[in-house]
Amino acid sequence: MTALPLVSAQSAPRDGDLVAAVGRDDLEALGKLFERYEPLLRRYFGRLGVAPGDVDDVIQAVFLEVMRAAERYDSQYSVKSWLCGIATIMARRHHRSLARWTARMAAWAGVETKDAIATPYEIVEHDQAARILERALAGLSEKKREVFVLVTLEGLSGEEAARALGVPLKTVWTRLHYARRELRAALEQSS
Amino acid sequence: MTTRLDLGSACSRAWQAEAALDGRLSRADAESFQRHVATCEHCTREVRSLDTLRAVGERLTVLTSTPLEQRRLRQSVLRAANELALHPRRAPRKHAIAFGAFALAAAAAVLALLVLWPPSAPDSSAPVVVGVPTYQIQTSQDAVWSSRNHATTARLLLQGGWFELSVDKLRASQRFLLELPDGELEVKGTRFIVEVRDAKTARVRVHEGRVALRLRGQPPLLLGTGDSWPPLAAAPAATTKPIAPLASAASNESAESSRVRAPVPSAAPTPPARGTGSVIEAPTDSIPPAGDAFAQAMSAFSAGDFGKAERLFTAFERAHPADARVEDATFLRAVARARRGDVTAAQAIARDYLRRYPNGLRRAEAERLLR
Repeated sequence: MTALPLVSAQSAPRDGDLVAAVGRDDLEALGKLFERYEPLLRRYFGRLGVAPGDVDDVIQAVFLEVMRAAERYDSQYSVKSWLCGIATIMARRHHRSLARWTARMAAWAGVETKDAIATPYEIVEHDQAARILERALAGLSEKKREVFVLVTLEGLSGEEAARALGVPLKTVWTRLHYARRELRAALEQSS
Repeated sequence: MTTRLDLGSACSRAWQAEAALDGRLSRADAESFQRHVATCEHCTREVRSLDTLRAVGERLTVLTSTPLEQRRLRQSVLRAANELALHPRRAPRKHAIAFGAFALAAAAAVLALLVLWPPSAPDSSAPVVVGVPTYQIQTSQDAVWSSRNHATTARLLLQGGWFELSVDKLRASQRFLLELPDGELEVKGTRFIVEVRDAKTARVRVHEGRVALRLRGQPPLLLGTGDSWPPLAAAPAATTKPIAPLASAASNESAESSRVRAPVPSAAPTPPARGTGSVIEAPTDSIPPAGDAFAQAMSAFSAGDFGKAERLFTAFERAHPADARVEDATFLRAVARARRGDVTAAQAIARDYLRRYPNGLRRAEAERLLR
């Protein structure tokens, strides 16, 4: 599939230039952005608790939103934090969708989902502390989990996370502190 | 593996462990805390516990995709994005009900307003009409130029001087043209500088977006962000540049022409040019490379010149029948013809596309053209 051509002769355009090109409906630039950020988004959604089977749909929704929002991108901020902001919104929407409510109802009714049961292979492959942390992370509130994943696991600065989540910097630190406290408590309790 | 973490803290400086990890401490405070950690058991445990949390976090399961899965998703994303670009106003299906409810409520509100306050202006409910492109222009003091707008086309006649233009993004039917003494320049929502000296185009520099530069006797050039014309080696040694812009205007004005004449130009060195444009149309007596030929056609298509785009796509298909982009070219010919209003011919091309590419990437769109 071919869209409007990316004309610039530069071999490795900067992220900001790619977003600007996407703002001009340049799909080749969108493809390049996809190649650069798809792994990050997949990892991020996985850590935010989006089911593996749904991740592709949410990633697609992110890039379509990038298409719509590219003209409003402010180049003084990193594309990574901007994309994480969009991804966070998409993950929240996904979590709040009807399907997620159905899954929760099933959980309340005592129906165990596949994700809750670790296979022997997984137990061997995946160390106990990591599995405990994974479970504790899933139990965190959405807001605390987003901050913890962005700052601690994805390596964004506090400012970048604040920008991505649209909250004050102090709120980031507060949420991060409480997220760490809960996670450390979970690890401590299990040990 | 089990991990022992100490959450208790009897030291008043324990909070600094997190602050240091997050980079919230000044250098002096961070160094002071490091020295303190060496002597404080509680803070040592606090730092270790945070390190452990981070280390365990790094061992969490990470979702990955194979290259094949990534390619498939990329294709799916681009297909959806292309659809979005072609039909930007269509609301997502899942929001259709909410949108419909909102539209009904809005219509009811408008009706109520009309009943309570009959409008004085008869055209207040008229549909949105695409007008002349809007832009801002800054010129040198010696600039001589005029503008002529017609329907959805803005045309500036530049006779001499230095001009910096910022053109708002154009809609499908809008065109923005600069007539130069020795050619013309077509714009697609961009910010750029043009300089005209001695009845010749002296310089073009694109800050943002794309412009097509067509000078008489030369192959047209497509200049992208950061590109300049002429290229560095061919740039004139010195030329003029304004000290301060004189004229500044946001135009969505009438079809009449305007003229600005300022007194004395002021000399200043030209900023260094960088990059070069890529040729988008080769001389007629040679077959351009496939990439250039396709780019020419796409350029015409994106500029809204659908007649030219169709001709160039046809020429591309004939000259490069084995190229992978022939499929796109065929489909885009159908779209170009449809945009020109010839639905019957567009459908014939779409049928031809579906016959040649029954499982083509554009199948869904081609089938839609047939409805």
